[in-house]
Amino acid sequence: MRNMWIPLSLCLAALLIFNGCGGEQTGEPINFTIAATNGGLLVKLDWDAPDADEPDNYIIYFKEVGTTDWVEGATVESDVFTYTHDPDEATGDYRIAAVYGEDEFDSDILTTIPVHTGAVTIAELNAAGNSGYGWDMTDFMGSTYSMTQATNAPYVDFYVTDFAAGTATSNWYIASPDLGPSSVDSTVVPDGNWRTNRFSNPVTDPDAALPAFSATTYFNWTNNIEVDPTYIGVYLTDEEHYALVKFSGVNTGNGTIQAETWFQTVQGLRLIAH
Amino acid sequence: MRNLGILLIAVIALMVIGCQPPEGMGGVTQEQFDELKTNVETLQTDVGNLHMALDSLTTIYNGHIEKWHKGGKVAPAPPTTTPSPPPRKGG
Repeated sequence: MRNMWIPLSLCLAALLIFNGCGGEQTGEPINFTIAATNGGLLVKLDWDAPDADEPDNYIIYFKEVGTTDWVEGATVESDVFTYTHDPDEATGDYRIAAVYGEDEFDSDILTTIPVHTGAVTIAELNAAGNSGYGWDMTDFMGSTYSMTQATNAPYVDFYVTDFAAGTATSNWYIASPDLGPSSVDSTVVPDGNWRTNRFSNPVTDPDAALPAFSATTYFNWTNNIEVDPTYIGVYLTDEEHYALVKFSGVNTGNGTIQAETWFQTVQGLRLIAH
Repeated sequence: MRNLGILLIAVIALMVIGCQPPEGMGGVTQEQFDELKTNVETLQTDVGNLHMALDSLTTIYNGHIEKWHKGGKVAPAPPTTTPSPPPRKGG
């Protein structure tokens, strides 16, 4: 009978050890969000504690656009749920890891890399084809629209014109849609609730942060966009989002130009590196 | 009592004179201004339509000359239109 107690005790001990009696409940950070701060140049990360035991600490990871490796950034205490990252004008992916001993549990991945829409053909207002362009606020992809239909007014973020009858061979403009019915372009653009947006002067470095929106940096139109290539910063005044447009490949014969865009999905963030 | 009556009449007379608009300032009403604005906008539209009609007519005429009168004199190209953008506004 005594011999039976030894294996029974061993079994009980093994059960206690391997069954995790009193073991740690682990989990990933939840409700992870990113937002622009410090005038649109820094990225503020916020999250909540895992729905589990308190981790030892949190590690912030960043993977810069155009690279493949996650870089370990700051480590913060377990009672800290916010961190402001200075990406030095770079964009990239972010994740937060909750650390339990040797193990890490990752949050969702969020990104500041702008959404790219490949080159599309835009016609000068008096040429054949669509002259308007706008971004969808759900997937942030760009599309062209006709400026002759008032029903397109809510979707157009800018249009291409020479502010003259016919199509000139130079001095083309990117213009705010609301200028259509209130300028010489009113012969083509009907009255409607056209949007009001603003445009920077041409930018020289398409990967640098865009200028901050102000009365001296963004305007209702910018001209000479037919110079190949021309990069223009766009500010959507209602949504407070920044975007970059690259104009190239002007064809004065049929009055068209190519537009390629990058849309920053984080409101107020001026970073556009791609 | 009589003096008081004279004083009252004088005050009323001064008030009436003081309420008259300055010379040359009472000529244009808001309605007239709005009408003028509408007229200018209509003229702008008409000029734009004329430009388009002229372009279309020129294209048709030149097509006719090319088809039926080889070597005939085609209509001259219209002068380059000067761009007339609205004022550039910031912010």
